Amino acid sequence: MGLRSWLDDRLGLTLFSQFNREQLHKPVPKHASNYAFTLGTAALVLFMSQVGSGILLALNYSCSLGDGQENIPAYSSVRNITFEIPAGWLIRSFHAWGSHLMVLVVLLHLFRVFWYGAYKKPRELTWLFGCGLLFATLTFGFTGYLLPMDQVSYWGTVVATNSFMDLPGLGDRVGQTILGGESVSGATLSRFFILHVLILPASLLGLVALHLYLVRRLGIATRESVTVEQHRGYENVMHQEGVPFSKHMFREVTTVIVVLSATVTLAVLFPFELGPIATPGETPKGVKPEWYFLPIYQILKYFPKLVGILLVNAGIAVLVLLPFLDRNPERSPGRRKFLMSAAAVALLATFALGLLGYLSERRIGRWEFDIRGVPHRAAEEAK
Amino acid sequence: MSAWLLLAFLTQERTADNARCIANCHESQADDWKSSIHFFKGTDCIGCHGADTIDTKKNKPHLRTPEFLTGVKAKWTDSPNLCKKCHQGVYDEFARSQHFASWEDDESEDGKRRVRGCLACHDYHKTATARGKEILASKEMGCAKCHRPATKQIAAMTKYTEQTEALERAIASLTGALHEEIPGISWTPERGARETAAQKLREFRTRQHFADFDKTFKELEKEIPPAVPPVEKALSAAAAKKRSLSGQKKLGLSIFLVLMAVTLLLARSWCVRTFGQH
Amino acid sequence: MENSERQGGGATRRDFLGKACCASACATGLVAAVPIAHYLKPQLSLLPTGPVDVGADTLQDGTGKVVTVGPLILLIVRNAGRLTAVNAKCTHLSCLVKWDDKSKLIRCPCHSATFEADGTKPTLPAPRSLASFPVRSENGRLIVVFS
Repeated sequence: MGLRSWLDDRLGLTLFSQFNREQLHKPVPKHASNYAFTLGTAALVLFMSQVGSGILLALNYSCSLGDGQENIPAYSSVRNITFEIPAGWLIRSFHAWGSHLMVLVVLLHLFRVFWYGAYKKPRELTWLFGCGLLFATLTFGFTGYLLPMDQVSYWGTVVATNSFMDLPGLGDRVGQTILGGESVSGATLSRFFILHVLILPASLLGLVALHLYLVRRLGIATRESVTVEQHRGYENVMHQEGVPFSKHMFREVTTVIVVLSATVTLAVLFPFELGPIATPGETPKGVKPEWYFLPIYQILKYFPKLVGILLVNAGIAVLVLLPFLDRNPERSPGRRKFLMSAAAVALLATFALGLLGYLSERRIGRWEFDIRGVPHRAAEEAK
Repeated sequence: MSAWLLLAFLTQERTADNARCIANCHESQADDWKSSIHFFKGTDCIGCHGADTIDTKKNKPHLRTPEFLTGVKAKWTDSPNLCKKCHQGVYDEFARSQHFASWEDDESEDGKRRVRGCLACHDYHKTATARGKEILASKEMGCAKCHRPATKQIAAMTKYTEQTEALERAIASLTGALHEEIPGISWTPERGARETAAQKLREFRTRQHFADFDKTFKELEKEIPPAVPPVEKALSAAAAKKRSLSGQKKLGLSIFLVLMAVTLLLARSWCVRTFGQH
Repeated sequence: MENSERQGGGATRRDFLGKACCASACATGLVAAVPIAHYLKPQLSLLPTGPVDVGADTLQDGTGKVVTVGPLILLIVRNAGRLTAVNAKCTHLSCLVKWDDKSKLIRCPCHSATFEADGTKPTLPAPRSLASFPVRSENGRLIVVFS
């Protein structure tokens, strides 16, 4: 009609719809007809809903430490959002639950990619950008956590930054750059806020664009080994054995709706509360970072600082460089038994560390868990 | 000003020293104190008794008899002079009353005053808001000890006690209701009502120390009951807010989920019909 | 014939599904938009009522001072012993007006509109008088009465 051709003459809309149609009907491997393959979409949807809810929150958030004592504008603005502003509690809880779900979904997506060996040649860069996205997501969580400035967020950040501040040489400098000073202060809050609201969203959008471009360009990995896929040619394999992506579309739609509904439901049924205001002079007992940082937090307790940091960095390096370290051309999980077992062990260890992190410095029934997660029978009745 | 500074001084945390008083010798007094409002607010042993902390630190029992603050005779009949260091407003009311005149002039031959000032109605360790009914029932602390017969006093005190306790109960219920912080509900107006009522109750209790039947008790009898309805109104407003939010949540979430489910089914069908499925 | 009928039926059913889905999605969007709209509504601060203490009475005769009461900004003037209080936002473009003792008029610095001490008799470009409020001095404090 009139409007469409007017826009098309100027924007080239038909090219856009042609591109969409191509992408929609592009073949994907048969085995990708599976809900596990919708996790990437789920992550993107969650990110977009975080941007939306984040913008709404930022309209009422005051990023200032005030006098750092009785009056912290950051805290009182979050308090205002949670208790006074109509529907503020809903937007905030949606954003908080969304952040947990986003980390979970990104991790599950990583496992799915790992399981199907989809990081191997020629998709190494996709994996690298994906790792970048994982770190961006975790950093989102870390920076966002401080913003309400209640006891838990303040001390959780102090504990987390202390763990690498003591490192000799660079540790100090890096720590102080991140904090904007020698300790968590107003400068830290500003930095974290700008990271959370400007720098990270822009970076994540850029990484997503590159990641999606590569995914579309290189296609979803087949189950064939690297050599076979290369030898036969990806296009040929798809032509013969592929299924149009459109036949998978209903799953993507389902996942988007389910994910959004789940976030809203959690936000309404389990709204996030606000702890007491941050008091820099008084550390509460048993301060811990968020669940996705617990394994790292816990492992640093068992080794001397430097060794712990090296271990963690080694783990991260293995993860990021996986496509280059894994020389096995096979993609099918059944043909990569060694790696799968090693990964299972690593995953189990991470879970165990996480659980120990959760239990440490906590009292459950008659058991008191110390800082290393070792249980002791409680000496006397707590008064 | 000095009273405030003193109050600040008196209510510092000196748990270590208190622990010594209690653990070493004075357990029964400690039990009494722990049931009192002084304990709740942080006024401790040393706050009233003072002590030479050097003595307690060296783990020796105090070398001198318990010293009250300077200017106060260490007799419990001198209680107003001690208590007024913090409870200035109450002392002012008491000082205008007949009880004060009797207290001041009352020096019987053996030096023991009959009117015991504050301790006539308030226990020294179990200090709490004097419970009128307990005073009336007690032979030790009752009005009948001096006033014979004490019918007028008892009647006025009974009425006053009933009314203030009703107000106190209302405030306690409101405080309990407001204790729960619920995201999405603002307790600001209800908190205001609670503060106003609590302030009034404090005022009533202070004025009562003037203890003049023709003036104070008559006034209070008229003024206390109207303080209760605003508290009850705030309480029902709080309950209404909770119900309203809960209802809104249920309704909103149900509608949203139903619509999402419908959209999901329609979208799935449309996709499957348009593209087929695999 | 059966085929084309079925196909025709299929196409309209698909169309219907598509339109129904859009409608449902829009409805969901609207439901979701309701709390967001409430959230975005500007929170207007409540106007005060009754007598309000606005500050110490340090006004010399022939001077004015600006006080803020909630969302309102007032100009209080003591002119020849009489106290007046007016809304300090000029009715033209909301600049804050001042008392000019030489001419015994309230003057707006932006476009030179003038008013009497009680806010009446506006000169152009001000289209309306300034709202005025009863004000008195009590125990050295200025008390403005709002209704």
